[in-house]
Amino acid sequence: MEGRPVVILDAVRGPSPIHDIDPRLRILTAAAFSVLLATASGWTAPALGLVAAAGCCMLARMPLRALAPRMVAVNAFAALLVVTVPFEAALAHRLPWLAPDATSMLEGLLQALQVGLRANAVVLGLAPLVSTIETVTLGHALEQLGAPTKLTRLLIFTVRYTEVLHAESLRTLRAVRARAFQPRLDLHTLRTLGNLVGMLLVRAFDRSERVMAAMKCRGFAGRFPQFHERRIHRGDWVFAGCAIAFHAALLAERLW
Amino acid sequence: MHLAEGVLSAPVLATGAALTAGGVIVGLRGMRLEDVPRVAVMSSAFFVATFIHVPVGPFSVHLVLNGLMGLLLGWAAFPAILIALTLQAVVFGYGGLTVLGVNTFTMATGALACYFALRGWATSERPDRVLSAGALAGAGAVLVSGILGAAALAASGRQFYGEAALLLSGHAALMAVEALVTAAALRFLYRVRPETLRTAAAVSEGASHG
Amino acid sequence: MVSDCILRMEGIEFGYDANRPVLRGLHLALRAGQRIGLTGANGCGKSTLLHLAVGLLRPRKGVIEAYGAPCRTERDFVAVRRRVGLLFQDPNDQLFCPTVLEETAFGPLNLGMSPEDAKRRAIETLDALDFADRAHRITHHLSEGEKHLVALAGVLAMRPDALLLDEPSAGLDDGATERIIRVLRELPQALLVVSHQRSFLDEVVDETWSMAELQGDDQAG
Ligand SMILES: Nc1ncnc2c1ncn2[C@@H]1O[C@H](COP(=O)(O)OP(=O)(O)OP(=O)(O)O)[C@@H](O)[C@H]1O
Ligand SMILES: [Mg+2]
Repeated sequence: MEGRPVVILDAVRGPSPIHDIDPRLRILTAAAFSVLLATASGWTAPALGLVAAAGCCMLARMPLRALAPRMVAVNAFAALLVVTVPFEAALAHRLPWLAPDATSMLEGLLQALQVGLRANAVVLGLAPLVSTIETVTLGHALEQLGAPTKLTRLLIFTVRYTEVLHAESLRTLRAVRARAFQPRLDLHTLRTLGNLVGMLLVRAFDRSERVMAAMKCRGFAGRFPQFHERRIHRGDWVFAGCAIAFHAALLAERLW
Repeated sequence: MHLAEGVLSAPVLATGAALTAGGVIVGLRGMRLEDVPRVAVMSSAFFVATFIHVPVGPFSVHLVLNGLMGLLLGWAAFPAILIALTLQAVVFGYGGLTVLGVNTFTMATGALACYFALRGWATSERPDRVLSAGALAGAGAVLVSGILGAAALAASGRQFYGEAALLLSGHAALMAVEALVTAAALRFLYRVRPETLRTAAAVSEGASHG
Repeated sequence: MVSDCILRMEGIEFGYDANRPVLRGLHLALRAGQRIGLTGANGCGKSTLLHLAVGLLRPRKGVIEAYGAPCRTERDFVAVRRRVGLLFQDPNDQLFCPTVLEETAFGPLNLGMSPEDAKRRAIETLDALDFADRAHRITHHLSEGEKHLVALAGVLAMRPDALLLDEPSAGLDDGATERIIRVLRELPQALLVVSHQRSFLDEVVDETWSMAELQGDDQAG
């Protein structure tokens, strides 16, 4: 069945005020936000970050469907920390056969909660800022920000092949199911998956060679055209101002 | 496999980012523009592999395939894995931007270790060697990545030793799965399109010289 | 008789998008030994129907029964797929093993046969299609017509009770078409064959249904 490919690298669609902001600006903001929060300590900065991130999510009209899986993933890990870190913290200062003391356990618990808060803030902030950028636009924006051309081209080609490979893997998996295949933990299953991976690679390599040949036929000599001249508008300035103020405040809080 | 955001300490994050930057630069230097589509195929495969699950008891693990990436790409595994993980972070929010360096480094180093240790066998004419190279690469890459990931956790604080141990033990089943899948995939390539196994090394040639 | 009804589809509705239905109120019953041809315009949903029949897609409405028992869950359909074989329209979707022999033995292995038995079964099946001499060829390097034959071998090797064939004769030369016709005529199984070639259907099936008929008020089958 040909049909349309299942799109998996789809950005969260607009329109929204966040979608209107220059992708380069959004990428830079996301990077600054991630770095500042991932290395933050205490409660104030992560809490502020979480509030700001939630605000951005609302502005970007992030659907719950896009947010839920990543929040579940990050909080599953946070939950693991909350359960285990207190004991490890308690044991860290004492010999293992002594009963863990309450103060260091409490310390450990607070530490784990802080990690969880930080992680939530970072993940929640990343979503509206970069998950709203089409992946191809992301490649162009990174290139304009000075990333090496080969790297950004790699990104763009990867996006392109991922859709194709994914659709193809779904079709092949469907076809093996039609022949009564059921994945188990056994040699037959793993060999089947290995063959499937090999087949996907061979087909994709063939295709990439055809793509390259077709590009050469059209006079490709190692340079790609560049479009997307984007004019900076007022919304960009407003957003940049807010972002700078917010991150300056985070920094100030840290230095105090 | 991914380390989460907000856990690792700043020095660990910075070290991971710096090492990854170095690896990516070496990888890109050896890659010609013509190689981009082929490397992209591998990073897509790496990405798509994460959607293929294998049941392990009540749980399931997804394929990783970084051993295969290493054998087929050499140094180019660094940029390829960086791109795949970036897409994963951007589109799905799994693993964030600051851990990108550490996550890429752990996975790509596993890949690269396999490349240097096993490229002779992987490009051999003898099918048994190719099969063994696949099995060793599948298991070895996961092991190396697991150890590095656990080390990154442990280096971030005494309180994460437990998580580090958990991470490492969780890799045991994955190693077995990856060994067999990678061996089968390599055997497939050996029989169907053997030149893939050899041209792969060519991408890295430039890197080692240049 | 309900029991000799291998597959029954009742009031099936399906669409890939919510607002564009592909099948509307489809009825169909395939009995043991029945040999049916299925025709319809491109894009009218023939392949979709076959995928629904073995549970690779799920209907929005309607009932699918196999051997008189309703099938709803993946588990129900897993059992169906062991007894009802589906040949995909595009052999490239189906073929994924390095060699022809492995490809043909894949289904029998899934049925739980030992590797030796599966191999023997594969060779027998290939032999019937005059393909045994090419058992060790690399599947990926075959011509499109050869791929069609191997895909068919992969399904036949499972010896299902019923065969759902999606354009089995597309892209085949005269010799291969005749061989397929001969093989299909000798099969005791129930057949549901999608094809745009009237002459091919005339040779292979006893009765031809059109998709329009199956979705009309007058119930076919
Ligand atoms: N994966 C898919 N996603 C969305 N739409 C699809 C998909 N597969 C098929 N379709 C649509 O469903 C309709 C029925 O498709 P189907 O493949 O069943 O037709 P068909 O009768 O087999 O046609 P043909 O004679 O060309 O093989 C078509 O309009 C097609 O565009
Ligand atoms: Mg069709």
